[in-house]
Amino acid sequence: MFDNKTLWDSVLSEIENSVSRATFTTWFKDTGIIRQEEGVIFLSVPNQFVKEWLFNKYHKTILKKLRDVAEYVRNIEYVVTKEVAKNESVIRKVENPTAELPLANYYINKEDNLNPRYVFDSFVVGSFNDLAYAAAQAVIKKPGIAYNPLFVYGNTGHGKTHLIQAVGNYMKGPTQNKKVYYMTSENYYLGFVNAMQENKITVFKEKYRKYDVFIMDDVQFLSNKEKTQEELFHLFNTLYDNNKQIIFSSDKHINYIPNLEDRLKSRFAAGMIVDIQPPDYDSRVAIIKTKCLFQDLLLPDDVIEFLAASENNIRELEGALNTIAHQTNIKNKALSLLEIKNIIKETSKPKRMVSIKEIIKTVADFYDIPETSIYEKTRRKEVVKPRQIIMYILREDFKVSYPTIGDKLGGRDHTTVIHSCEKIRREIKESLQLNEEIERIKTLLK
Amino acid sequence: MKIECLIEKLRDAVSRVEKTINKNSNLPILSSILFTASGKTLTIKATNLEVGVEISIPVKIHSEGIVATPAVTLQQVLFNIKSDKILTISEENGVLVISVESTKTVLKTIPYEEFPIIPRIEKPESVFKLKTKDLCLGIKSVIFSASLSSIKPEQGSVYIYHKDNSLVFVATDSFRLAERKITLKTNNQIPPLLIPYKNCLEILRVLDGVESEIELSVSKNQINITFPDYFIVSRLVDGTFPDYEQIIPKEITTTVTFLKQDLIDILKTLTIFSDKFNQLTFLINKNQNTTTLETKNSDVGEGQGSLKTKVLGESLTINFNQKYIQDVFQSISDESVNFAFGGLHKPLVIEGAANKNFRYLVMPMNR
Repeated sequence: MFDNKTLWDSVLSEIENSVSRATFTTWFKDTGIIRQEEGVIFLSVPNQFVKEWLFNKYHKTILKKLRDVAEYVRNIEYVVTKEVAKNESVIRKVENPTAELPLANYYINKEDNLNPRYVFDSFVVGSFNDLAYAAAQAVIKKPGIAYNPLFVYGNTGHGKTHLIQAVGNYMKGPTQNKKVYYMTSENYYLGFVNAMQENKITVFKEKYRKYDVFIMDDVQFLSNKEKTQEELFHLFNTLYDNNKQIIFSSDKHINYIPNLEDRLKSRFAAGMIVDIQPPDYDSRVAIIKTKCLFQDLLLPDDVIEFLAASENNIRELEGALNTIAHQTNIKNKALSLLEIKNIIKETSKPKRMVSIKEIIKTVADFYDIPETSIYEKTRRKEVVKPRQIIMYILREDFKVSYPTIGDKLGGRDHTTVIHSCEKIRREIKESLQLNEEIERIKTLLK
Repeated sequence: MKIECLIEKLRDAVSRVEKTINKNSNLPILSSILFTASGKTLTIKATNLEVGVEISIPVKIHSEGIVATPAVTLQQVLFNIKSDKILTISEENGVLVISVESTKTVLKTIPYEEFPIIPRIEKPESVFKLKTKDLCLGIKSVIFSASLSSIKPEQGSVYIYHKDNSLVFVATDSFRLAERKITLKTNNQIPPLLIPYKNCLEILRVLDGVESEIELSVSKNQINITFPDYFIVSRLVDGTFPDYEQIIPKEITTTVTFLKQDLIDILKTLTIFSDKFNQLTFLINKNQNTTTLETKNSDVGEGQGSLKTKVLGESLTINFNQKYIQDVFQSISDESVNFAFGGLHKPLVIEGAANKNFRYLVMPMNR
C-alpha cells in the first residue's frame, strides 16, 4: 500500500497538468490524504465548498488517477478538516507590551473534556515512563485490540493524565476520527448519583456507550462506592464486548485500591497494567527544556539544573516554570538564578521535617509490627524486612550516614546497614510488590 | 435567458452579494456573479469559498437560462443607471445585454459551468430562529476584539454559544475579550459556533437593513442562514474556545465609575500625546476620589485629565493600551461605565453601569 503523501503527490501532479493553474490552486491546494481504510481513500479538504466541487466535478477523475497508481483504491470520502494552528515559535510574535489574558489553561473541549495541550508531541519520554508510553503507542495502533483496557497508575503529578489524554487527542484527530470521551471517576460518580436522583438512569447508561475510546482518570476515587462500581462494570462490559478501547488511570496499583469489587478489579487487570514512576534527574531536565520550548521561555542551563534538582514532581515543576515565565514577563528581562531560587522557595510547598523516630513508627505500623522490635536483635523475617526498608529509606531519601543509621537502629554495625540497603535496592528492581510498598510508605511520610 | 426586472431590486441584491466576492481571485469565475432565471424568479449568487450568498428577486421571465458575468462591471453599470424603470437583461451570443429606456450596455460573460456549488447542510445538527438585528448586534458588539491574524483560529473568530436563555457572543485577541449576551428563549440545543472574523463582516454587510427573522442551521463545518429570498452559508472554524469565565477576576481591588462621555472626551485629547505603545496611565486616588489619566510622548508632549469619580477600594496606578480602552465605548450604550480593576497584572472588567449584557476584559501593560 502506498503511503498517503506519495500517493496524493502523484495524483496531484497528473491533475496539475490537465487543468489551468488557477483551477488547480483554487480547488486542490490544501488537500491531502489523511488515511486509507480497506480501499477507501479519506481525502481532507479545507472547507465545504471544496468538498462539493471536488465531489461533483472531479470525483471520477480523481478516482481514476488514484486507481492508475494504486489498484486497490475503490472509493474516495471527502472530509472537511480543521485548519492547523500555525506553530507559534516559528512566527515572530509582534511585540506587545500588554500582558496576555491568562487563557492558556482553559482550552478544554466541552464535548469530550480533552485538553488540547496534552498531546504526544508535548510528552517527554524517559526511563520512568517508557513502558507506559510504549503501551499507549500500541493502543493507538490497534485500538480495542492490543491492550484493552489500558490501566496506567503512578503517583500524582508524573504525567498519567497527559499520557491518557494524548491517546484521546490522537484518536479523535483526523487520521483516526474516533469518538472519544474523557472524564474523571469523580464526575462519573456524581453523574450517576444525579441520574439516580432524577430518575434518568437509562439516559446515563446510554450516554457513554456510543464512544469508541473511553478514558476514565483517577479510578481510585471509586473505592467504597459500590453502586457506581457496579454501573461502571456494566458500562465496561458493553464497551469491551464491542471492541471499544477503554483506558483507566489511578494513583495506585489495582491491588491497593481499597474496597474495589473483585469483578471490577479483574476487568481492570484484563488488559495491560503499566506504571509511571517519578522522573529521574535526566528526564526532569528534558521535561523542563520541552516545557520551556512550548512556552517560548529561555532559561540558562544552571537554572534548569537547579530546577531539576529541586523537585521531582512534574506538576510542581510546571507550576514553577509558569511563575518564572510570569515574573520574567512582568520584569521584562531574564531572571537571575538567585531570583529564581527565591521564587521557588516562596512558592514550593514546605517540605515536612521528619524525624527518624517518625519513620520507624510509620514503617512499623505499615507492616503491623511493634516499634520496639526494630531496635531489638531479633532476626525474625517479619521484622528484618521492615528494618531493612527503614535503613534504605534513611539512606536514599534522607542521606543519613551508614554509621548513624546503624546507631539509631539498635546499635548495629554500619556494614549491616550497607548490606541491607543494597539488598533492598536489588529487590525493588525485581519485586513489583516491594516497590509498591515503599512508594506507599514514602507517600505516608510526606 | 431573457428577463425583465425592477432595477431597484436588482441593484440591492447585486450590491449585497457583491460584498462577498474576492476581487483578487485566481479564478475569474470567483469574481463573477451568477444569474439563474427560472420560473418566476432570478437568483443571484456569489461566493469567495468562505461565504456564499444567494438572493432571489421576482422577475418576468421571457426565457430561462443561466449566465455568469464579472461582478465589478455589473455593479458599476447598475450603480450608474439613474432610471427607475424596468430593466431588460438578455444573454445573446455569449454576451449579456442590459438595457433600460434608451441606455444599452453589453457585458462579457464567463462559462457558468465553472461557478462553484454553494453547499447546503443536508442534516443539520441544530436549527433555531433569531431576529436579524439580534444576530447583527451580537456580532457587532464583540467583533472589534477578535484577532486579525489566524494563528489561533478561535481567536480570529466570533464565538457564539447558548447558555441560560441567552445567546452569547464572544471574541478575543488574547489581550482583551468582549462578551455580549442576547436573550434567546429556545428549546433547541444550539452547539457552540466559531465564525471566522472576515466571514462575520461579510454576513453583516449582506444582512444590513434586513428586518425579518432568520433561521440558522448548524452543522460541524458550516452555518446556513435563511429567510425569504435569501440564503447565506459560511464556513465554521473547528476549534475550541477557552473557558474565559475562569479568568474573570474573583477579587476586585478597585472600582471606579465614569460618565462615558467624560472619558471619551478626555481620551480624545490624550490621544494626541500617545507614545508608540499607546500607553495610557490611570492614577486612581481613593482619598481624593479622583482619577487622573495621562499620556506622554517624548517627541510631542504630555496630556493629562482628571475626573471626580467615586472610588471603591484601593488607590491604584496602572497602565493600559489606550486603543483597547477606547474600543469598548462602541459597545456600551449606558451613560455610565464601571471599571472594575483586578489589580496590577490582573484583568480589568468594563461594563455599563446599568446594562449587564455586555462585558469587556482587558489586560494592563507590563510596567
